[in-house]
Parts: sequence; structure tokens; C-alpha cells
Amino acid sequence: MTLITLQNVSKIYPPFFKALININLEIYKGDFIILTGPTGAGKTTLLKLIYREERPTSGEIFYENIPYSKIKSKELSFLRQNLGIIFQDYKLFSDLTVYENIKISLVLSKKFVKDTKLLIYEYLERFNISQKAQKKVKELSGGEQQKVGIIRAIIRNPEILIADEPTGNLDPASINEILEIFKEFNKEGKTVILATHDPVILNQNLGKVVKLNRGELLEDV
Amino acid sequence: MFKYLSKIELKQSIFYYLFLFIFFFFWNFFSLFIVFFYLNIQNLIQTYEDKLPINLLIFSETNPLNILNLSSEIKKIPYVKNIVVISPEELLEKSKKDFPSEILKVFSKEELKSQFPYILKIYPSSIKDYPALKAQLSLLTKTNSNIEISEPGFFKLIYFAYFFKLGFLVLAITWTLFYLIFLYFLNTLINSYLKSQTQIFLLLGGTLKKFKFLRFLFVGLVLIAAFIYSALVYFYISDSLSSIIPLFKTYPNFSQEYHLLYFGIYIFLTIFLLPWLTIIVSYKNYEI
Repeated sequence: MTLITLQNVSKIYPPFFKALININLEIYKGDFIILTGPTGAGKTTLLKLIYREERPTSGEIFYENIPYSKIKSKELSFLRQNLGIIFQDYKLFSDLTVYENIKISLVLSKKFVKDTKLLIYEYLERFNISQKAQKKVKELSGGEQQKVGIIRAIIRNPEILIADEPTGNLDPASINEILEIFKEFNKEGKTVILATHDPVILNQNLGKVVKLNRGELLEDV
Repeated sequence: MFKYLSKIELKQSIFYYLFLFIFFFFWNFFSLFIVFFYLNIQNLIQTYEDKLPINLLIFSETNPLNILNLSSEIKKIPYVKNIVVISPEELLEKSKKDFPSEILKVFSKEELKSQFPYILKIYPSSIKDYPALKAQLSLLTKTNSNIEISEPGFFKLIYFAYFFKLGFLVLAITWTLFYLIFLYFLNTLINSYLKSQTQIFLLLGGTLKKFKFLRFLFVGLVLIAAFIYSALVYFYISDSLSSIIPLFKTYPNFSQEYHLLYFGIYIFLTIFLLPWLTIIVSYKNYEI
């Protein structure tokens, strides 16, 4: 079943910068997509179009055959509630604590959780940052912030996990931990879209590799 | 959820709320004074409008028929509402009590009467017709040296008050627009300051509804607090003014129902409706 379809999608940032050129891509339910390419290839732009932080200049994106252009803002929030997004720049609420950042995400996902606090602490333990739970996010190191961003995305058990360079600031042990979580997700039939140029991840043969270069889709392996 | 969003909103924009408090304190204070002066001037005009004529003094005229003819001629002037004729006899009778007794002994009644003029009290149709009527009557004084114009000293004050009244209306509209523009820009400023945080919330699947509601709540609370403080200062000053100048009354007068109603409408508009509208407008096209 096609989950997300990109049809002749182009994105041009004013005045002339072509971030994506005529992209055609189909993502099926349960796919593990590795989006790769050099810096500036258009990976982040493509992800932003999928979670609709950006709109395409031309072309159309479909979610379960519903065109994004027809999705109203209220429906958009339902769509995003089913996504788990790991941002390259973390996008955390800097004035809130680690615990509060994760709880907001969990509450917004509207998933029933018996004991929210327990669940959050379980994840924090798993990533070795439980002692930082009541610290403000802005007091954490880059790697710790990245871990909070990852927990925030995966704790809501989303239908689609979108990760933009999730391992940039992490140590090898944490990278392996995260990749294991991604694999578990995928095994449960959930879709993972991972943008990276980290050779460690690329060599692991996790799924379908989609290569981008200067905004163009080079191969769909 | 509201607890966390409140934290985000307040920590990032406490300075703007403080600014709003100070702004609204003074804005409301001056608004109440605009209304205070407007209503007092209106009150003053209503009190004196019908009571202040232009007096035409006609000396050396002994024939009442000539006075009647002149009076009917003046009545034809379009700005004239009414004319009251006071004869020298009536004037003498009214003034007698103020005369020194020696004068009354030395001069006969006829001699005294001859010194008094006929007075035509000419009431204008409206206070704004006063200059035109005065110009027409001045023509009479130019052609006849026995006729003089006498106007009450504060007639001019009332006349200018009439135009001040109109000026206040323009001021009130401009003042309200100023408030609306200020609220809109303040909201836009807070929105842009909180943009990154709001975007994260939206990307996580939240909606703007909660942010709008919270903004309205905070703006409303700040406005209510500023309103209470500035209203207290206003009532203190206006009460003091009213006790010094008895012509002035404090508005609103809470014993009058319609004053209460207008005051309620004012509060509803400034604290609830206008802020809510500006919040909605400032968030337009904000969705990502």
C-alpha cells in the first residue's frame, strides 16, 4: 500500500535556488527508506515537504492518495500526530525541561499511555539521560539534546518515523542503539524514512536507498 | 499541556506583557479622561445653549413701534430662534434695587428711563450659528450708531466648546484606532518572537487554538489588571477635579443605568472583543 507519493515535486527557494527538481517517489507502508546524498543535495528539503513544513513549488505529494494541497490545517495536525520526526537541529522547547519536552510530544500524539511518567523514564534510562530529566534542554550538550529529540519522536510510537541526520552528534554505542530501535520499528510494520550521509549507517543495508544530488533523484536502489 | 505552553509563552514574552500593562494603563486613563471632558462639555453646552442670547442694545429710541418693527426684521434672519424684548421700564425696575438711593432722589423716573436702552435678547437657532448671526447684527450697528451689541463673556467659550466636542469625537476614533494598531503589532511581535516554539508545537501535531486561547487569557488578565489600576487613578483625579470645579461631574455615574451600560460596553470592547480580534488577525496565515 502506497503511503506517501511524490509526483513531479520541485522546490525552488526564491529567487532561483532549485532545492529539488522533479522528484517522483513512492514510499510504501513498512518501507525503510535511507535518503542519502552529499550536503545540500536536498535531503532535508524532501523531508520537510513530507511533514509539510514546506510546500512544493510545483508537483503534488499524496498521503494515502490524499493530496497535501487538499489537507486542511485541522487534518494536518492529525497527520502530524502519526509522525515521529527527529529534526537535524533538534527543535526542542529550550525553556522546558527534558521531561516536559517529551511529555508534550506524547500528549500531542493522543496515544493512550497507562503511566506516562514511567514510560518517559524508561526511555531516558535506555538513553542514559534519566539524571537530566528535570534539567532545561538548553543546559544539555548537543549529543544529549539529540537524544531528547530522538526519544520525543519514538516514544509516541508513530506510524511513520522521519529522521534527519539523527546520529550527527552521537557516540558509536548510541548510534547502534538508535539503529536497533529503528529496525524494531520497521519490523513492527512501521515506515522509517532516514536521511543520512553517515557511511556507518549506509553500510548496514537497512532498506531501500534513495540517492539525491543537487536536488535530483539519482537512483532508487 | 496548558501549563507547559504557558511557560513557553510567558518566559519568552514577559517583557511584552509588561509593556502591554504600561501601555493600557495610560491608554485607558486617557480614554476615560477623553470621555470625562467630552461628557462635561456636552453637559455644559446643553445647560447654556438655550440660555445665552446676543443682546442688542438700542439707545435713544422712544417709540415702541420702531422696536417692534426692528424685532420682526431681525426675526427674518435665518439663524434667529427667538427674540425677547426688554423695555427701558422693565430694565429700570430690575435695576432699581441696585441703585444708590441718592440717584433715585435726584433723578426722576423719566430721566432715568431715558438713559436705559431697549434690549433685544436674540437667541440663535444653534450655538454654531452664533458667528453668522453676530455678523448680520453687526451690519445693523454699522448703519445705526444708537445700536450696540453686547455678548455674554463666556458665550465664546461655549461656542468653542461646541467644536471641541466634535474634536473629541475625532480624537476618540483616532485613539481607538491607535489601540487596535498597537494590539495588532504587539501580537504580531509576540508571534514572531515565539515563532520557532510555535512551529515545533505545530510540527508535533498541535494546533494554534491553544496558543490563541492562552494569548487571549494572558492579554485579558494583563488588560484587566491595568484597567483596574488606571480606573482607580482616573476616579481619584476626576473626583478631585469635580470637587474643585463644580461645573464638572464624574463620569460614569454608577447610579445611572445607561452609564453603567456604556461603561460595560467599553470594557467589553477594550478588554475582550478588540484584543480577541487582533489575536485572530495576527495569527492569520500563520499555519505551517
